Amino acid sequence: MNSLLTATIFSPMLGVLLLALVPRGRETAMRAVALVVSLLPLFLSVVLFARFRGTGEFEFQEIVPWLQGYQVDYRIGVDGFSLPLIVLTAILVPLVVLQSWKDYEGRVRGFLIFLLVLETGLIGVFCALDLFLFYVFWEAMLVPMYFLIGGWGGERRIYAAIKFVLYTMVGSLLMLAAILYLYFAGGHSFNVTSLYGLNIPQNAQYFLFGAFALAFAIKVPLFPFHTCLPDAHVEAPTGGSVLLAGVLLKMGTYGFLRFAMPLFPEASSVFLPAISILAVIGIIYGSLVSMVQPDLKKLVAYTSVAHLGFVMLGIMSLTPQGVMGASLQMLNHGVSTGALFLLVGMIYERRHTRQIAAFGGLATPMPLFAVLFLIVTVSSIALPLTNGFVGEFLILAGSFKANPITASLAATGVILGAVAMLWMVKKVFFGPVTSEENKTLTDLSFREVALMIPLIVLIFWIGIGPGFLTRKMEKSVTKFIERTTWHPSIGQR
Amino acid sequence: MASVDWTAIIPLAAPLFALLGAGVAILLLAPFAKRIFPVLILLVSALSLVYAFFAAWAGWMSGAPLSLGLLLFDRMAYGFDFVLILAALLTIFLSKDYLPEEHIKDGEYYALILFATAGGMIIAHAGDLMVLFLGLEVASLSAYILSGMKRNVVKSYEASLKYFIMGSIASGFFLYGIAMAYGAAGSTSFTALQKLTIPPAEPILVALAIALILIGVGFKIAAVPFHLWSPDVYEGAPTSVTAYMATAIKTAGFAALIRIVLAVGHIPQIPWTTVLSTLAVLTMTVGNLVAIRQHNIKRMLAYSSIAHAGYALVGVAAALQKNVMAESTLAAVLFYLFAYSLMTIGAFAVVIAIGRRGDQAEELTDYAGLAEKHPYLAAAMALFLFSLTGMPPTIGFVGKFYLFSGAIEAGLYGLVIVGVLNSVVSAYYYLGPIVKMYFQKRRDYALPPLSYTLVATIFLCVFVILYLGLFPSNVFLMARESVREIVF
Repeated sequence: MNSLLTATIFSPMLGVLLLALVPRGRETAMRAVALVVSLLPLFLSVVLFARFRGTGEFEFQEIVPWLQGYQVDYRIGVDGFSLPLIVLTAILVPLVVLQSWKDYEGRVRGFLIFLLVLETGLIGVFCALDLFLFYVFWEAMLVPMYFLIGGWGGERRIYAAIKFVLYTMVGSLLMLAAILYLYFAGGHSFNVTSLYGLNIPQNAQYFLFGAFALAFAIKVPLFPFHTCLPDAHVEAPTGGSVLLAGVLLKMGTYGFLRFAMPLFPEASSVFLPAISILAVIGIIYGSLVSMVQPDLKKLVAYTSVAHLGFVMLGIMSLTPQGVMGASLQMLNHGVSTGALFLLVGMIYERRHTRQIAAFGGLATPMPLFAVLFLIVTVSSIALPLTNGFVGEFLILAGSFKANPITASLAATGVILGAVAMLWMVKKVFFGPVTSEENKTLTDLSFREVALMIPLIVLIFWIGIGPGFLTRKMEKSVTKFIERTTWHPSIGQR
Repeated sequence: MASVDWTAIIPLAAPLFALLGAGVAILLLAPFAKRIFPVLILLVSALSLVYAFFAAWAGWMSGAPLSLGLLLFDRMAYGFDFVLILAALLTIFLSKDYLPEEHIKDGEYYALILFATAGGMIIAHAGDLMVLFLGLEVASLSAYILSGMKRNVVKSYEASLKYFIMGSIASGFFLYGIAMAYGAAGSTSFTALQKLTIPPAEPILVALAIALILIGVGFKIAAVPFHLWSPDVYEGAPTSVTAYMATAIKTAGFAALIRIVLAVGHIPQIPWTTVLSTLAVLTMTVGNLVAIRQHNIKRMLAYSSIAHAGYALVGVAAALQKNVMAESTLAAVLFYLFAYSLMTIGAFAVVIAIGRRGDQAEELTDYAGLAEKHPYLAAAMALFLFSLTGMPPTIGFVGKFYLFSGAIEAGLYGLVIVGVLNSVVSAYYYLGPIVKMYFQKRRDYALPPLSYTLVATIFLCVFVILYLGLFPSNVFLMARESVREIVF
């Protein structure tokens, strides 16, 4: 089937149509519709993954002319970087629907609609091979996310939603200007594959890279552009946080992998050390700040800053191990942090607070919850046999080759991050049950355990046998390094 | 000037004559219309506009541009006709139920809308500064009266008077400019201005003429610093009239600007890029920054319309590079005026719908909790606001894309960066009503059922904004075709 990828992107929209038809008040039906429809892209993306050969080229390409007068095509395709992220998105959305099964009474329809629209936007971002199309998905995704945060979020949700939109827009609109410049510089084309290796004057490269990098750095978020992230993550509803942390942040790192670096190799080679340093600062800063957070969600949000710092460090190493590690870690962070946000959401549903101080000794009333939480925590702090270990190990190995100093500094970040997480686990789950309310908490229901299982399976699967992923990514990694490495003596390829 | 062959004009200028004729007919019919058929006047004006649209379509399709000296019949003129007619048609549909509520007599109202539209079309077809002035005055005089039509509201009087005084001053500037141009070129026709020698024999006269004319046009399109009248007028005027002024009258203003720039843009001694860029930057920035502070939705949309004139000016500045008009950038301006008209009329349609609660309900706080009670209305408003922000996949995004890409092609990077940062600022205030509608609760209220015409207008705007947001190429190609051959 030729339009498999298009079907994957737009299949969630089918759910939007169906949801609009469900009569008012039939909320369980709405949830069921959303769940079933969200399994569609999951199924399609798994088929894609199975058929994906990992040649390093873009596979499943579809090209349809779109805007005449300007050479804009609907051009999509996937490679080893984007496909795993698409699968990740498709896995997380049904889990979010399941997680929110009991929430938002009276306002379910909107939540589910925006969730599915967001899924289309996210998958589209990862598929787009035309800069115009990419920009459309990139911006369009803001709207559902804005509504999810603003409509179903916490106390300061409006502030967080507006901040999120404005931050993203500053970056992305400057990127739009850069995209337009590229169009006229690159022989009237928005086609990424033909823009790779384009001969762009040095000065222009700096500005263009700057514009792209700013847009992506805000999304990653790279220190010091991270300040909208804690707000957005904390105020977003659980489902929103899961997708924010799980997928949206990856749009930034993916942007560096797909666009900012291979399009402008010379500028990348200049800015690379600076970005590595920012990444290391992010790692250490994120870990330190997360140590002192009183709020569970905020703590997890700040560990994301650290984890994404690792991803950036891996990409900047420009070594096969580092980039492979980064690519894996993008996926791992999505799985682990997505799982953490889901778990935090479950406890919030029971206690309506996320303050660490309000808990203590939760392992007694909720043993199952404690076990799952612990597993996810160790995966997040990269214990061997879990997915996090594979990714971080490769990143550190790769970046040691590139720059031992930044790598050693980053390694201390691993320890700090572990301290933060384990400290939190100790305070929340162990010791005596201090509060009366906590004694009567019910353990996880069947639904809640069921929705965690896929993520737990992935944690160990990637941790023990990542070969099924790395095989498909290898060639793309080589290709990326080939495109991005700049040889001053030879000049541009 | 050759003697005018009137028989040749009739088919070409059919859109114009249709509107003028229908306007006069409505004035004659007005006293008895209600007895014959309640919506007779509406029907006559709508039909005349539809007829004008098809006549303009025939003119556009017939291709070969024709200049009759005083009047020009090229595709660009017909392109502007389309936008003007569409804006007028949508305005008329908005007005049907709004007028009785505001106790506005419908006879002269519809006639004046038609006259104003005809005035705009005269501007678009003008081949001579005097004809252009005539069109400008026809459109403006109609608009002055229209904005004062809420007879029992002081604000409306104030709007009308203010608009009249400021508009007259602008006309004065414009006329002075024409006089100077006549002095320099010996004629007021664009052909004569086109033939001005380089460097001009009377440099000071030419510079003064162009400066004065630009100031006059600047008033009409509410470019900063000539914008001060527009927020008060937009706020005080009946909402449907505001919608009309913000779209059709502004589009006519841009038609005038483009015609003039086309005629005298070849004079390299005038720093065109600097002048137009400065105007664009000021207009965008002031419009957007002041809009943030507004609590009244009509005022907010007024400042937003100033800002959008700024974006369109970016296009005009970019189109005129090295004293030649770039085809696709000029097309981008035309496309943007069309896109902007659609989203603005849509937004004002919602303002009218909300205003149907009885009180004025023009404050932003009146929008609180709308999404719960009226989800479709709120969704439509959200779409219009997102489109005004320039979010894909809406026509607002595509329009800005075309404009800014033209400016990048022209090498005006600084202007584009100011433009995109302005879009970020605008996002802030456009999100304001959305926050209110979706994320805030308020006392219960219910709107009376909306009229079919209003619903149809809103639905049409929604559909076109989304459809052209996804598939704009045909309309854009048509816009480009419109500016391919321009006559003088």
